[in-house]
Formats: sequence, C-alpha cells, structure tokens
Amino acid sequence: MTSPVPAKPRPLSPHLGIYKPQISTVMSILHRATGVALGFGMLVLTAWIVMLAGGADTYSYFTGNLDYALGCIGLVGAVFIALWYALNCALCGIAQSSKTLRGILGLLAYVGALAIAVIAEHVLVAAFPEGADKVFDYAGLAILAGITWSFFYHFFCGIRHLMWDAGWFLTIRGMHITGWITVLLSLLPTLAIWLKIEGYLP
Amino acid sequence: MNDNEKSLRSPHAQVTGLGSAKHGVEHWWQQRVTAIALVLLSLYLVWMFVSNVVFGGYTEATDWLSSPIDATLLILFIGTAFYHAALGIQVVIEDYVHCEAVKLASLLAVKFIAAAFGVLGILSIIKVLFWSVLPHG
Repeated sequence: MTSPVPAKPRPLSPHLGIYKPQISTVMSILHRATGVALGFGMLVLTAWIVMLAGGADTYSYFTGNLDYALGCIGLVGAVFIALWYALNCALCGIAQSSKTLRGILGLLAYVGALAIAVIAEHVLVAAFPEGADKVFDYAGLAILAGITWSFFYHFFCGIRHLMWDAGWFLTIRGMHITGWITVLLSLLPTLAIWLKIEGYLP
Repeated sequence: MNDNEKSLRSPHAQVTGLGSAKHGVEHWWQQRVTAIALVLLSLYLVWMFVSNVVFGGYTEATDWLSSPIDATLLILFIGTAFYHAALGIQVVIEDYVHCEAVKLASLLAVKFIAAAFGVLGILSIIKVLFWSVLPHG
C-alpha cells in the first residue's frame, strides 16, 4: 500500500457482522438490493417492448422462452459472480507485491470464472436436457416473482423515504410502524398477481 | 504547511486534492424528482401492464400501446426509470467498489447501458404505436 498512515489514527467502527439485524437496517439494505434488482428488471422490460415491436411471432417466441432464458442467465450469472469473487481473492492473495500482476490476475479471474460458468452450463444442459429445462424454468419464475416483489417493495419503501425527506414519521415509532406497513403492502399485490398467474385466484 | 494542524483532512488527502465534486445536492435532488415522477407514472402503468400484458397476449399489449397517451406515459416511464436507476446504481458502486479501475469502468458501463437501453425501449414503443396506424405490408 502506498497511502501513508495519517498523522492521527482514525477511529474504526465495529464490524457490521456483530450487529443484530433490525427492521431499520434490514429494510435499508433491502431498498438498495431491490433497486439493483429493478435495474435488471428494466433490462427485461426493454427486452419485452423490443420483442413486442418485432411482431406476433417474435412476441410469442419471447413469452414462451422468457422463464427458461431468465433462469439460465440468472443461474449462470450467480455461478459466475461466486467463482469470480473466489478466484479474485485466491489469485490476488499470491500477488501482494505487484499492482500490475494483481491487475492481470484480476482480469484472468474474470475471464476464467465466465468461461467455467458458461462451459458448465453447456455440459449440464447436454447431459441432463430435461432436468435443466425444469431447473431453468423454475429459476426464471423465481426471478420474475422476485422482480415483482422488488418493484412493490421499492415503490412503497421509496414513498416512505420521500415522507421522511418531508419530515413525516421521522421517529423510532414512525420508522417501525411505516416499516411494517411497507412490508405488508409489498407482499399483498405480489401474492395477488402470482396467485392469479398460477391459477389459484379467479 | 501549517494547514496540516488545522485541517481535518489527512496530509495524503490534501496532496492528492481529491474530494467533493460539488455535485452531490444535484444528484440527491434528481433522485427525488425522478422518484416522485415514477410514483405517479407507476400507479397507472403497473395497473395497465398487469391487466394488458401479464394477463393478456400480443393483441392486448399492442392495442394498449396504440393509444398515444399510454405510449407517451410508457416512454416517460422508461426514460425516467433508467435515469433513476443509473443515479441509484452509481451510488451503490461508489459505496462498495473500492478498486479504482473497476469502479470507473462500472460507472461508465452503467451510464452507457442505461442510455442505450432507454433509447432502445423508447424507439420500440414508438414502433408499436405507429405500426397500428401506418399502412404496412
């Protein structure tokens, strides 16, 4: 490390892991997580409107394969990120001294993780075509349900944040009450929509 | 270098001269303005999307977007949502990505992807809108 030690050592806060999860902190990080999830949701929404503009045949191909494609991208992506992180930590550990070497190894970790994830997907699909179909379909449905809940959570929690910006409910009690209302309001429409999609509601 | 004793910034921070770009308030305010716009747009559009797209087919979806008012609202939604998303993901990257090269590349990628997909979505909505009114073979 090249940055010099400051004249006075700075105080360090206790590590995040020692705190008990509370509704304030959990809802705060969920607002971020659902926001990032909705960023990916926007890409799916763009894909939907592009396919709709492609005509009836393109659109029916899209709706017929959306679950499978999303599940495939989601699972391969998750494996890729986990591998990338693990390889990055392992490779950078052996190159503490050189910044250039760390950079090259980091790039290698990225490309390697991506290659392993994609090749593993191809091998598994070739070996178990029916099983892969099912797994990808269910994973895709889970991702779509996750995006649905992310939307309603981020929507209601966003209104909660805007109310705080206006100075409303800005107390411990207000935070607790609006928090649980937000959780409830985010689950109701998500459940209603997905129960209807799966045929449990008229 | 008498400043070192008075300033709260470390000597290293003073030498590199990095710090606030003085755009923080603008970023924060735009995040709120787009949030309010998205609340209003979502109230109507989610209802229409669920009834016409989730529980409808190609005909229902294209019929819905052949209305200029609904197409306008969806275009506004796509543009505002991608802008809001780019602002938000920027903050997440700035908070969690510490490697300078990866951070810079991610920030650029988010802006480029948001702009490209936003334009792609808007053009596709316009295509669906005009497809229903213009003669075609």
